[in-house]
Amino acid sequence: MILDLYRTIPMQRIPASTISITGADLDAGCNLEDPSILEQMLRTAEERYGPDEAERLKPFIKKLAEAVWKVQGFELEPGDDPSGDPGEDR
Amino acid sequence: MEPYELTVAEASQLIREGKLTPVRLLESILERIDALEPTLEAWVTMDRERALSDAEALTREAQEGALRSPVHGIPVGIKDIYFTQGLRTTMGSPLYADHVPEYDAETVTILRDAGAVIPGKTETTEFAAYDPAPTRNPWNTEHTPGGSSSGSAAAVSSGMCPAALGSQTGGSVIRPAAFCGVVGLKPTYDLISRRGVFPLAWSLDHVGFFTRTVEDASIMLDVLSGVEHHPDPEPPKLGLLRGYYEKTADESVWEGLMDAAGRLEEAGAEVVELQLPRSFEYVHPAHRIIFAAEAASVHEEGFRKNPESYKPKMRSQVAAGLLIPSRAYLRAKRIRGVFAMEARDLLGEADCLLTPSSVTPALRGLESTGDPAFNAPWSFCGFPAITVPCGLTGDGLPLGLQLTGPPYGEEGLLSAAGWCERILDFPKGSRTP
Repeated sequence: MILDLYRTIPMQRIPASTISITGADLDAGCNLEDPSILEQMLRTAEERYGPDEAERLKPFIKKLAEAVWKVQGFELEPGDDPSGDPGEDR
Repeated sequence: MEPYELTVAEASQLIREGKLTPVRLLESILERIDALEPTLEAWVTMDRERALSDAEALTREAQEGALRSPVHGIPVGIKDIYFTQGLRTTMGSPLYADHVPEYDAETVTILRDAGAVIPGKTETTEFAAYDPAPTRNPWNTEHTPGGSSSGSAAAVSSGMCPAALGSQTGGSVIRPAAFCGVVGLKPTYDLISRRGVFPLAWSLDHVGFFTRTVEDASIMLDVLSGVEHHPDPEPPKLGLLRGYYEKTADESVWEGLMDAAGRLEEAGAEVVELQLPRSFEYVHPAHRIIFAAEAASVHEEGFRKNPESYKPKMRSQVAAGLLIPSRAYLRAKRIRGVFAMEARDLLGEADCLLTPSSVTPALRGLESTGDPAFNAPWSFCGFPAITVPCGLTGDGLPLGLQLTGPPYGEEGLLSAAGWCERILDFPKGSRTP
């Protein structure tokens, strides 16, 4: 019966952006769906390293913030490999 | 021909036939190093005394007919992030300037047990990341040899050793090998042990190595992996990746690849054009996130205690990497799983994928070791890749073609690379700057 149900219910692709448990709760206020990710990272850098060092780090943080922003645009499906570590299927 | 000019296979055969001794080969190598090191700066620390003592013992064994392996008596350079018992291992960092490990990396143990002789440690960028080594390119000393395995690539290219270990997290084997006109092999992730290799980003780090021929790469792979490969060079079906690669490559690099592809096709290879998968667009940012997050994690403690001891690029890399949200890191890893699956599907269409080995030829100056963008996707998904020299630019700098195979598909990859090498017929001799 269970197998039949699996066959008859079509798998639905759920865009990651619609999943309700997001980084806002899990990641200490760092919400990846917020375009202000750069500002958040810069603010954290200022708190941790001071304003001068944060300013020096800005080009590096900017690149990483862009990368973070980019990867959050990729729509993962529920069945996609949750670890992604190479060699695991050896 | 001087012994230092021999490939691994040639030297091994002469040792087997009793026409060359490990001591004579090492002496020739050391003379070559003495002659070129002031110009090229490929070595951090030499280990002459132990190397000579080992070569003497291996010479006696050879005379008694007790050969250990095809690398019996062969000098192999070791990148200075591989731990070597009793021999300084600096990681290219002032923090580890006096670091003497208490044990050998597993690969170093394997090589020593197989009869390889280790003349010394080769230069690396700091922690195998961005801050450059002082090494110069044997093809033009005004140019970078690439990195991070800068010393190993330059040493093999110039005949200071016939083989050397490197490592690749982005493009640190394939790119320097291409810049220096030699063969570089980055096997499948985890095929060769990383134990005792200082990590940069552990889920991207690969052991790899440099040789002057594909045959030598096959010998090194057999010894280091403990698995025999029997490549059979024959015309392959090559999946040419245009799109991103064509748009990003320097004009001379793309022209060189097209010229090589044409010659291979004329000689009997089948070249088919393949489309990069949709996930490829996310590969570089995802690689950047994993790289930065894991490198920051490796150095978190040392960085907090002693940030001033890091060179500028590494210091910034670690500081910025510590800011990456955990969700971004995990998402990047899941993208890797998707890309690996799609890349594997792509490899169902051809024996291996064909791209240029580097975005540009070796850059002028030593400030940057070049862009790893063409290699990072294959470090990201852990697939094996090899570079074979395929020609020269108008300025006389080497170009390489990169072949990528499926996971654990090294035998097929070496078969294709060996055939391409034979057709392209790039000079295999050592380069005198």
